[in-house]
Amino acid sequence: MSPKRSREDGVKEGKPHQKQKTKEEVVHPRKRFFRARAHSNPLNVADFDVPARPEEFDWSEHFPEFLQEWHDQQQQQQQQQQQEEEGVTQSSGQSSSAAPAVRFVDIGCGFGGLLVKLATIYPDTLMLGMEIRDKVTAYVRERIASLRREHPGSYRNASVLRTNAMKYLPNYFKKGQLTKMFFLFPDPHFKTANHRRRIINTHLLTEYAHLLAPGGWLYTISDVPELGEWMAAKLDSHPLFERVSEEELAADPAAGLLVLSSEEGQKVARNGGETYRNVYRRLAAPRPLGAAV
Amino acid sequence: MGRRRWNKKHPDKARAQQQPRRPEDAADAPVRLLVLQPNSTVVGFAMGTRAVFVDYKTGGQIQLAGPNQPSAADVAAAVAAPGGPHTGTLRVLQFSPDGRFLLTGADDKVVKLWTCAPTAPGGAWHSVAAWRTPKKASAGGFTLNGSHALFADKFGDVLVGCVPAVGSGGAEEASISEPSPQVPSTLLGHFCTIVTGLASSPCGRFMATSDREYKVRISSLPEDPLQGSYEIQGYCLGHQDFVSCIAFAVQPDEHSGEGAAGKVRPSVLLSGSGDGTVRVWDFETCTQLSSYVASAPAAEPEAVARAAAEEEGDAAGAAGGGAGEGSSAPEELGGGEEASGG
Repeated sequence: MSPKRSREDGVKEGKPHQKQKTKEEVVHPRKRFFRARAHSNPLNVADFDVPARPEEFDWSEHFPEFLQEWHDQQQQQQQQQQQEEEGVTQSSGQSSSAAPAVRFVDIGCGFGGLLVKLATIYPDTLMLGMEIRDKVTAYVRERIASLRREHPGSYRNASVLRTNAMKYLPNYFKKGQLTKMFFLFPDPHFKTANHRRRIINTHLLTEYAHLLAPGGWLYTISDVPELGEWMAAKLDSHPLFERVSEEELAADPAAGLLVLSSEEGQKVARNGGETYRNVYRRLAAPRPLGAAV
Repeated sequence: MGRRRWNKKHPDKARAQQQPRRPEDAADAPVRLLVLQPNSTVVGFAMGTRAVFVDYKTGGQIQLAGPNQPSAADVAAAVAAPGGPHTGTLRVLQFSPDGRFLLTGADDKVVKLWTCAPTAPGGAWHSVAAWRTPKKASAGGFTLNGSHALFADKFGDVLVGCVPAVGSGGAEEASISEPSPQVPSTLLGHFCTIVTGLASSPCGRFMATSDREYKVRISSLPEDPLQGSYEIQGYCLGHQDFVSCIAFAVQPDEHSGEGAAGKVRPSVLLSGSGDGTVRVWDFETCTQLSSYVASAPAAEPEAVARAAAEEEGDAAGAAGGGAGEGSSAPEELGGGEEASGG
């Protein structure tokens, strides 16, 4: 067969390689080239850029399609309003919708397991993973990019950012912007002197409550029993958080993902460990704390 | 051989090899604090471990009584000794809004509260309460009604202590003995960053705290601060470098002659930073109203030594400077704002 005819024929029995070459080969990143130490000191001075304010951060490099659609919508509405002013059309006045904003945040997203599962379950919600390690962030970025190529139209709502979430969350998000926050298998910091560096402590919970919209959920899971109790105790003693009941957890798709979606969770399951899940809701008004607290 | 064992065997060599102390740890670090007592004519000045209070009308000095010194005569003798009421460099020097109490905090990790009963010249103020902070104190203030003392340490925690109700008559006998330091409650915290400034808003509902991570945070101040503050009003973000000092300014009426009928402009928050700017904020909405370039940005630590030798070092030190200059700036800013707004 001459090479030209085989290409025109397309599907050819006995020549499966020809068919695959017409589709772009999607290579997913291999973790072995992105290995990094498990720990990175969160108290270090940042060597990455942090925006001074949430308004100054350009989200279009993370979610280009969503922001492009929104811009087109805004322009359309502006044109409609101009026509209204001229008295041509009489469409009902549409208030401009808010720009699409990140709603879900995975703090310490690691290799991105939870993020890619959430992206297909909530395709219209923008979600962001935050990771402090440089190489791991690069891996997640390549993974999302290759998934976007492999499934055109999907995974446009997920992205990753390299930053120190304990220090710089208010620089990226406005008050009440987030609706879900995920803390999967955080660093336990066993020594008592380092307990203040745990990612769930009273002071940081106040910050998370500021960024979560009322009714937003905060998901945590850990395989260390002492850390699970600590997180439950800190959340119980904070007046702006209330525990979510088991029935609501069973009905929530994201809660079911906590145990097995991330790479760390799969490792825990392989080793046959137990996990301790704490999911709390952000209240609109502080609840009175019991006298014992 | 481990380092500790080697140090024991060669104490002289170990001393020679010891790392030089940081400038802020030095005993006579140039920390200058200046406060004015409200409703009175006393000026307080702190330098290093010593604090001096002078009544600028009469010229008389008021001392801070050391431990177990109820009478003024003993105090005068003790003043000659080098040790002051604090053994570390003073970092916090604040009067309560009504001028009845003084808060001092130092590098000896103790924060003390002194009652400022009006005394004859040569008299002494006595300590009525003391708190032990886990790290050195870096900023302090009072709630608007003076019921609680707030102070922040280098961990980033803002701690609160109750100001004891002290009657004007019984002050002398009640505070004969030095109160033992207690553990304060925690109000709020910035995560692992030094809190450089602390101020209560004029309406009494909010508290502003600034830190070295370029942030100014407005938190709601509850009625009972001992319960803790859990709601953040917002962040005033915009500074490009550490925030060194903050102060609230109540803007005077435009036409002060009209009295109650005159319009009052809302209060604003001012913040000075190492990036050389002073910014004015509307603290309820956390928006920046304006920004003034006060000086050149504070340089990198290596360049500071070079710049200090040149003239620019003085200008940079005025607005940016070190964390210890926090208390002096608000007085100037408050005075300047009223002068420009009035």
